[in-house]
Amino acid sequence: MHLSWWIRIRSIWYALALHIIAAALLVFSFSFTEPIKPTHMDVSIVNAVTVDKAQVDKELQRLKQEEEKKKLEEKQRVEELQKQTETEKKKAEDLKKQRLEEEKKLLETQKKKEQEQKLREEEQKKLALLEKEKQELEEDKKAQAEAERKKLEEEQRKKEAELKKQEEERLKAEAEKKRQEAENALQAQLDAEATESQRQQDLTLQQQIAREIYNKVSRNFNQTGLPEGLACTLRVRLLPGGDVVDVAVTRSSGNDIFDRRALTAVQKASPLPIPNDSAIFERLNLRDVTFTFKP
Amino acid sequence: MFRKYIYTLNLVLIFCLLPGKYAYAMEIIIDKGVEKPIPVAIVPFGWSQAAALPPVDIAQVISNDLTRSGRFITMEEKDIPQRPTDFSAVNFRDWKLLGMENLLVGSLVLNNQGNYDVEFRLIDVYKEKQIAGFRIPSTQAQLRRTAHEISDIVYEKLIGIRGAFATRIVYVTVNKNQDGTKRFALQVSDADGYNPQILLESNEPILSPTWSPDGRNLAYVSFEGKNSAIYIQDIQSGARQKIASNPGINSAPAWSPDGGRLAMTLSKDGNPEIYIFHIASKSLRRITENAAIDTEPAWSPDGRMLAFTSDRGGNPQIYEVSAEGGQPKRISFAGPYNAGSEFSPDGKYIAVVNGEGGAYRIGLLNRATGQVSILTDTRQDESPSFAPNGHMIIYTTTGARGNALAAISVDGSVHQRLGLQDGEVREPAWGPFTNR
Repeated sequence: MHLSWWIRIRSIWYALALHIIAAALLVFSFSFTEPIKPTHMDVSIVNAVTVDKAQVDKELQRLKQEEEKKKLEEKQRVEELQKQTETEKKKAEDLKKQRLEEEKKLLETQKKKEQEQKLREEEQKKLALLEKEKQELEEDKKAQAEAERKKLEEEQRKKEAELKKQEEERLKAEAEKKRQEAENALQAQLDAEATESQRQQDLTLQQQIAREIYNKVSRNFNQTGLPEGLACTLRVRLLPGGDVVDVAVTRSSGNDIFDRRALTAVQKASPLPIPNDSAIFERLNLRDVTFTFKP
Repeated sequence: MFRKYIYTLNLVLIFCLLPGKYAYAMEIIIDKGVEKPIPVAIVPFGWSQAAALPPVDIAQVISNDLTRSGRFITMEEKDIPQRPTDFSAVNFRDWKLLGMENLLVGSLVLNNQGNYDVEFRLIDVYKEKQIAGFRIPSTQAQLRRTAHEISDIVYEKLIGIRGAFATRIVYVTVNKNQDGTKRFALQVSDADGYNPQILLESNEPILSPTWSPDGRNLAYVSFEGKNSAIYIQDIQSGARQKIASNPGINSAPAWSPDGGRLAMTLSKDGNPEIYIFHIASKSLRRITENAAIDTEPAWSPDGRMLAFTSDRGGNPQIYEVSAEGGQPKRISFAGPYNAGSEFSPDGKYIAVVNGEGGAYRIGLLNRATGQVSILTDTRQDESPSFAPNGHMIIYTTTGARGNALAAISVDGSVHQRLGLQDGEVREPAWGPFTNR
């Protein structure tokens, strides 16, 4: 996979290089095949006039000279042209040579490329072979693995069977647990209902107790001669039988006599009328009762 | 009251409804109580001379005082379970079983000077604490007075208001001479009627004794000169001074709270009217002017107002007028007859004789509302006079043997005859507090 990828990259690269070269050559060839500019062709105009001989001679001479000069010049020009042509020819030859070389190079490259292609193909073949071998090996392996797998599967099955058995047992246990839980919940609900009913009963009981305590304490609260508008609070500690074990003034009325009367009222009412039942005593929190005297 | 009760229960309910396992303690609001006598046991006082009886049964005097006030209930001596004479000897359980909320214990010691040291402790039985403890030096003659002083302290410590036991009263007794004529005597005694002391005796009527605010002098009306005259007499020295002997009626003196003036009834101008006499300047100022009878003036405690009885409306009723004079205003409307007024020490009430259907009873006229609450249930009750603490009223009531002295608590709960005096008793007046 990697290999083929590399090959592809390389071939692309080669193709690209070849194209660039080709393009470069084309550009050069154009520049060399520029049309040759036509050489300057002066046309001499002969003026036909009558002249004296000397003068004609002279003129002839001059013309001759001029002719010669022209000839020389022509000759020179031709020579130059020849020279130029030769140079150009040489240049063309060089170019050709160069082109040939290029072509040769190109060919070589191509050849090389082909070779490489071939090599690549071979390599690919090799690779395919390897792959095949590998596949074969893998198939072997697979078969082996299959056997192994089957074996494992067998084991697995066994295991699963075992697990299933365990699971079944677990489920059974769970069901049992659930059943137990449901039973417990039911019991709890029943208990809660019982508690609620207990609470209601307690509520009624508490009110009843409060009323009875109120009656007994207020009967013992002597207001004789007390000024109006006073209030004090007492904290009273009780025993389960209702006996007052301690009375403390938690908020004084500021009037010693009033506080003492309140205190006496509670003490005189001892034992306070509460049920002689320690469970109720605890549940209704009858250990501490607060009294506020505000007639 | 019932509504308050409901409220109390609602409050308890609120506490109950709070979540959790009754984490909140019960709160009970006591919004009412009872009005009943306070139990106090007066334990017989210890006495240092084991052989002889103590000269005065102090415990008994105190016990009688407290009972008479109507505000206490005491124990008969025979029912007393133990006789501690100091705090440490008290067995509280015994007294609690009897419901005795308070305990008075004490002792009487004869000292080297032949005088007495009276020591006592007032104890809160349920709190198991001493409320008060004093030692009062006394003499044989003063022992009753000392006992009354202890009563005053007990009263003050348990009720909150100074007791008026160690005070005196003045009254007039009427007895028969051997020839059948009447014998009048002006007498002063302790508030319980003991230790009477005759200040003046006469075969002519003595009327309307009244105390000076300092308790040192009395003013009264005497007919000893055949006509009525008003006298002032120094109790201690017996010295006296005639301050009013006008033609016609000179009657019903009433000492002003500042002690400088006397209100009185004079008919010198033709008709009984109220006058104010300035003792120092001996000047007289007329307060009322009406064709009807205006009499029995009484001072308000602040000295600004006078209450008096007038029949200007047809029947005797109570009127009030400024002590500076002015237009009187009728204040009593309950029943056809209200007379003989005296202000309560707090100025809120006027004690009156309320007559209706042929019965004359002691009533309390509420100055604010005009209502009269009747305190007595006898038929011929007269001359109410407030104790200086305002808690009791002495008056006379007519029984089988004529007028007798009686006392009633202002709540009407207890009335008691002070039947010590021979013969008839008239026009008692309760004296002021005197310094201990």
